Amino acid sequence: MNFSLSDTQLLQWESIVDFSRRELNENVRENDQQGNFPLENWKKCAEMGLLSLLTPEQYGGLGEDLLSSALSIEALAYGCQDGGLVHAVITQLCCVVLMNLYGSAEQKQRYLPKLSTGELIAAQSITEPDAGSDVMSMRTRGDINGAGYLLSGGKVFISNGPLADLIFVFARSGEGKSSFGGDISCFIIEKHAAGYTVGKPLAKMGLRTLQNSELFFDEVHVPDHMLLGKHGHGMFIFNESIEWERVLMTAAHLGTMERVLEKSVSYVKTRKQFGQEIGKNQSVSNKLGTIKMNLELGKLILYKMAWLKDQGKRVTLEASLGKLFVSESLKNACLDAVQVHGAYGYMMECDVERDLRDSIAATIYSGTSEIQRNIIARILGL
Amino acid sequence: MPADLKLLEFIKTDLARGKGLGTLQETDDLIETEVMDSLGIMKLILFLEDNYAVKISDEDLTLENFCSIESIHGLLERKRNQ
Repeated sequence: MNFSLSDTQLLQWESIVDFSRRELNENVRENDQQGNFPLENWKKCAEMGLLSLLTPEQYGGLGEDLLSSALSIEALAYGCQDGGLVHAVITQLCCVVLMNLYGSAEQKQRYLPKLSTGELIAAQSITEPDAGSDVMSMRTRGDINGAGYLLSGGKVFISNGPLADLIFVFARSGEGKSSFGGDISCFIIEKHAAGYTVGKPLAKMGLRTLQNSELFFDEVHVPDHMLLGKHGHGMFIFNESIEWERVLMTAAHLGTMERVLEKSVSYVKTRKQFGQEIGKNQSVSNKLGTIKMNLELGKLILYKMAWLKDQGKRVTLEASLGKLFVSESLKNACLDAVQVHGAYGYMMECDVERDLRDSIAATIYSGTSEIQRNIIARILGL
Repeated sequence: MPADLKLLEFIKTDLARGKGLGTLQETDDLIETEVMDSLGIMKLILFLEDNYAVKISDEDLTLENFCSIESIHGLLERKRNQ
């Protein structure tokens, strides 16, 4: 077993951290307060190659493996203080993965280069008002209609939704009740499709620069060539997508956790009360010791799941273990970071309050912590 | 040909456990009986790949291949003979 990273991976890490600190951290607080998506920073991320990490070279991408890509996302979240922007980048990467794994040659040629340069922004639309954790009970339908499908229904909370030029829509395309046997398919639509409308950006507790909205489909015609993968394979496409998403989200959470830890360590070394640094108090230092422990343990499960995916293995269990452990650890780390910063931590100018608000969502999206525990229990045969 | 005992055991004691199905027959429809839900199919694929040294590809993911214990066994046999 070899735990070392390559020189290239280390250089890339440093380069992305430098870039993120230099280019992405202006006006984060203001954008958070106003719910603005930083489009210029999105373009900078694209120029840096962050949207093309997982795109094959033949389509203009870097063609990296998942471990290297996860390290890059970890570096991005470590350097960049805008959690919403990082989330938007990961959403785009997941769409690139879907297109690369399941797209036809024509679809890849048409969309992958523009997705990788950020010229096109993409969204995955899965969640519905009555189909959250029970995602396969979705009601949006994509029924066969002549040489294509008619898409009808609605989605909610869709990341990148208000900005998306290209939308991957999961919908029920069969008559059965089960999620297997042709019941769910994945469709691609462009934003100008007739019958497609986007709701207003939703106001959120955190991740406010990330744009989320409802999406509505009123008999949207989807030609056959815009089906992603095979008819009825939506559940498998979704299961594959969610594994990649959980790896990349976990990477981002660890990057954020490391930044929050460093900021907290720095603060408790300089803040003095009762004649000594507050970090000398065990009630403070123990909190930071726990964050460090969770950070290092989280990296082990992240690198294992990324490595397994690179070997072509399924990581259903590992992705749930990693997502659950790291997202909960991040939330606890941010809460402790606010606490050790005291009143200053509660102020917006400190920024850790924003990290805390952002971190709450981490235990909800991409499968809640409760659902991760259910998956783990099912895999244990319980 | 009877289904592999290990496969039978897994489906009966893991996927179908607690679903009140009584005796599950090899030809019973696993979709209609709701033995095979979205996580169940993933568990089954992991089980087949881990225990029989086969790789289940996207091409294999059809209703016909997974609708009964008998059909899963048939898929397994074809994969082993490839």
